[in-house]
Amino acid sequence: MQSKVVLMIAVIIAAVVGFGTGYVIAPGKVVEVEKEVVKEVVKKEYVYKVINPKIVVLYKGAKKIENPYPYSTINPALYEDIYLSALIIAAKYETDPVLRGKLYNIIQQLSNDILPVIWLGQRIRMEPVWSWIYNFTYHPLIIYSFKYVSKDPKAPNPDTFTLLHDAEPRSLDPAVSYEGPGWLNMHQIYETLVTYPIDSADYVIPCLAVAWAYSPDGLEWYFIIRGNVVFYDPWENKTYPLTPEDVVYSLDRVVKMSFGPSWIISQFYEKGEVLTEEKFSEVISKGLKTYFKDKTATVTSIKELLDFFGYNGPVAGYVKIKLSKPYGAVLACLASTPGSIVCKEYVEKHGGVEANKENTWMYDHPCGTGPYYLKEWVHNQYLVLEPNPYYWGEPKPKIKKVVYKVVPDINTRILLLKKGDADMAYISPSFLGKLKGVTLEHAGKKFELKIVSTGLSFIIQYIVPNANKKPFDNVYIRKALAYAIPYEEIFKKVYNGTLVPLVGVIPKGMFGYTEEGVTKYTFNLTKAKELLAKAGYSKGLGGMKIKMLVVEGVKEWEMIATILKQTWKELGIDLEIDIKSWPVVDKKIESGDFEIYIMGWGPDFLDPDDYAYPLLHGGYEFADVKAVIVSSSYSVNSTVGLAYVCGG
Amino acid sequence: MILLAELKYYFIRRVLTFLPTLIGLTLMTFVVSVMIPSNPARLWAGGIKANPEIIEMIKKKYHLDEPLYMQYYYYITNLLKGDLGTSPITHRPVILDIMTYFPATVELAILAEILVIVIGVPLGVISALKKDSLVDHVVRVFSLIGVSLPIFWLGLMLQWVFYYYLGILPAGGRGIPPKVKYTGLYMLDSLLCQDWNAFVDNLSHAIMPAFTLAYIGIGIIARITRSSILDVASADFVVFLQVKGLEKIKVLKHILKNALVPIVTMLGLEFGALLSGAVITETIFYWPGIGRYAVQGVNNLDFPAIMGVTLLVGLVYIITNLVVDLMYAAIDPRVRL
Repeated sequence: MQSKVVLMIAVIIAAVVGFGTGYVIAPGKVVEVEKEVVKEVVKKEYVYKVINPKIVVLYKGAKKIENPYPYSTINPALYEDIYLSALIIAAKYETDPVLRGKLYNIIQQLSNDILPVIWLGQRIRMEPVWSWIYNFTYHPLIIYSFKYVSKDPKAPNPDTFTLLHDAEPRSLDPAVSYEGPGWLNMHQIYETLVTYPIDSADYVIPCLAVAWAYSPDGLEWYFIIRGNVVFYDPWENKTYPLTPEDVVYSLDRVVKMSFGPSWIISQFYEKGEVLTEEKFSEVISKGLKTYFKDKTATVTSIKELLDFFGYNGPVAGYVKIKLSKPYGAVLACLASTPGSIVCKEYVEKHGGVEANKENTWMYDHPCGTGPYYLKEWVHNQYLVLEPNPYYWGEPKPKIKKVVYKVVPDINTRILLLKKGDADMAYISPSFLGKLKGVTLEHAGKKFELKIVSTGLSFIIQYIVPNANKKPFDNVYIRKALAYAIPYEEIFKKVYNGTLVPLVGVIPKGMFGYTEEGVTKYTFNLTKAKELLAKAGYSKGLGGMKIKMLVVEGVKEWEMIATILKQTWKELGIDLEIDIKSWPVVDKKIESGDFEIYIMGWGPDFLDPDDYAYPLLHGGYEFADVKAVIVSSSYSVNSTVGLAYVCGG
Repeated sequence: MILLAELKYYFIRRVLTFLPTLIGLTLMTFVVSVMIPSNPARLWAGGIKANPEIIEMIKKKYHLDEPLYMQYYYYITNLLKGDLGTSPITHRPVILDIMTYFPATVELAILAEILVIVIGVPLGVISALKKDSLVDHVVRVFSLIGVSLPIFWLGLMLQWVFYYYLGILPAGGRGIPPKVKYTGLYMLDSLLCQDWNAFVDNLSHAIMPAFTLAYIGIGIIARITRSSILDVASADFVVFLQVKGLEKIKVLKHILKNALVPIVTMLGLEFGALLSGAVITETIFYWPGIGRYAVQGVNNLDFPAIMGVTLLVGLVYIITNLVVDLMYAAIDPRVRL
């Protein structure tokens, strides 16, 4: 027994060292240790000062998924990997934030080392905004929050904020809409249980919920609902009070209607229930856990919980959410638009809830608790939002009229913006150069159109080689391709400086991001050729014909493909650029009928699970997966497949 | 009267060909749209963000998992009930979408057609009467430019000059909706409810896109008018009338009446084309018409919308051709024989 433990520790240490340097073991390979594993985790002791914790991912009953679905049950490159699958699933369901963070660090390192997908870059958001606009910020999930914005009194139309976009919302129903324009407008009208501060994506803050807690087994979440909040119905000029029944109704509704974004809630939500104060007091007295920003606590009374959040205002009630499995990103998902709270009485009055069917009233008659309400919607022309007179929050909106104008042609948007008839417009990066040095004088004051950097966005761009097609099945080839991409040229020329390096699947600024132990792929043709030689192609790929699929109309991707055509020629690749319409591309990438393509990804909710799971899943499912921290005092005494040994 | 009876008979015969034409149209569109290699359900569920369970739900909802003839059967039975289906992209009944966007296109088409008639025909007449003079040459060059100029260039130029540089016209859109909605045609509605503010605003918004659309038509109609008049003017009966001593203006009236047939044909076909929506003009001037709705439908494989627009455009062309033929018969008695 003793010698077995020593052996295990020795192997662990060797593997950790090997993994740390990255190339002792062949890149892309994971260490498989003996087929012995911890039977039950007795204690999770973080003895940081004495021993560095080591993390082990255990799986049971591994099975390859039949007919895996790209972006859902396998990564887009169709790269099969049992260990990646185990890691990603373990991280998804891990509730301990420290362990979860470490797991995502490891996933980041592996995504950079195995490179099933070649990471191209991360977007910086650059908006053209007139200098008469104050407090305009961009948030990776909320996009814009107009309640913070104000205009200089000398600006043209100082009470109106006009925003130009190329498409109109497809619906203003949070259970149906799964696109940018819809979410952007709904953020001003509806609210969620929790939200993010406008300048940070690191932690959630109370919104319609003033406090939250969860059971130690992670299967039950409890929310205390804010009191004195009302929904505003501008058509009947009526208000409805926010009740905990509305919360349960809203979440049930999203799941039942089962439209595009419903999976964000249904992936963890099993049942919702309203609790009385007595019932909740009883439950909490047994001890519930909570966390806010970087503080954690265990609470045993409602008062203790409210004190932890520093809230002593009115309360509308208590909601319990039952999960099918403990999930690490519950709060992030509830902060996302499908988690918007709608009014039960209002919806029931106007058609109720039917499975798989749109509610034609809720489509364009949103009744929310947020800072604005919908004043007018002229289809494919504009939407007008005006301040909600009953809004509970702070700050109260200063802009009296927000106009979301639909202008599909980018040249027209540029003209409108330059003339000062719009305050802000959606302009893609390759056109930003046309907006340099534009000024306007109005009411005796000089204003300037500034290209403002509003921070890192979580939108990423990447290249997907088909792992089932030669030569992309060889990791050295993939790495060689990564070294043969002229990153700086792409960032400057194609994206006008709005793209920055991306080292792995998790973008910078998101929980779980790390740069430790990752390779920085730079444009280095010598290194690329060395790696080709390692793969057995010392004379290059000899004019191998490869078709790169590019979505029609995305100018930036066409430019990237053209640049790669030149540089990959050096590796002996004859790249053919295949531009196809979006529906055709979508079908091809779904059926695996592609060689390589360029694509982008944006967040549904701000959690690494929304990136790692769809973009790195290895196509395996398990009866059970768990991550544990191992320290030297463990004993190994049973037989279950051991997945990983990773250094922590 | 025998002539009217003949006309009625002619009319009924033409209407009877409506139905088979429309059925053939829907069948053809249906077959083409389902043959495209694509997974529309996945696209409608969010593309790469689509969840497999939701894709299955959508497939069932739109009967995409059933055989083609069943899908066509559902389509036709719903059509007979007046239900064109719900668009999975706009989440609205297609019939509502069409009723929202088609009036905008009709308004633009009518204004453009008026411009074509009011500018094109007189230009053609002058050109014919003053054949080979400077005026004639100018008009002919003008027509040539008209048919060769790319619409998007003209539209962008107009926008740049009149909106950005001179600032006298708005960049696009339809303007303020009139206080009361009767037909959906803003200018007509604002006249009907005497909302003069709205009328002026709507007109100023419509004039640039209408002119962009009309430009090619003006060129064509000017040329057709010119050649048709020249044709008729060289006929024997005209020489007879001139010899008879009829006033010049009355001779002109007779010439015009006889020259009308090709002009009317062209105007009719022109109007039909305008009614199908002008995508580029609608995009540049962000005019919410049926053209853009159709293109958006195609880009997203929005089958209910595509089928709805196809039916609409088919109907428009059939009716337009019928009206043109009837006008033929009205103008030229020889046709009715």
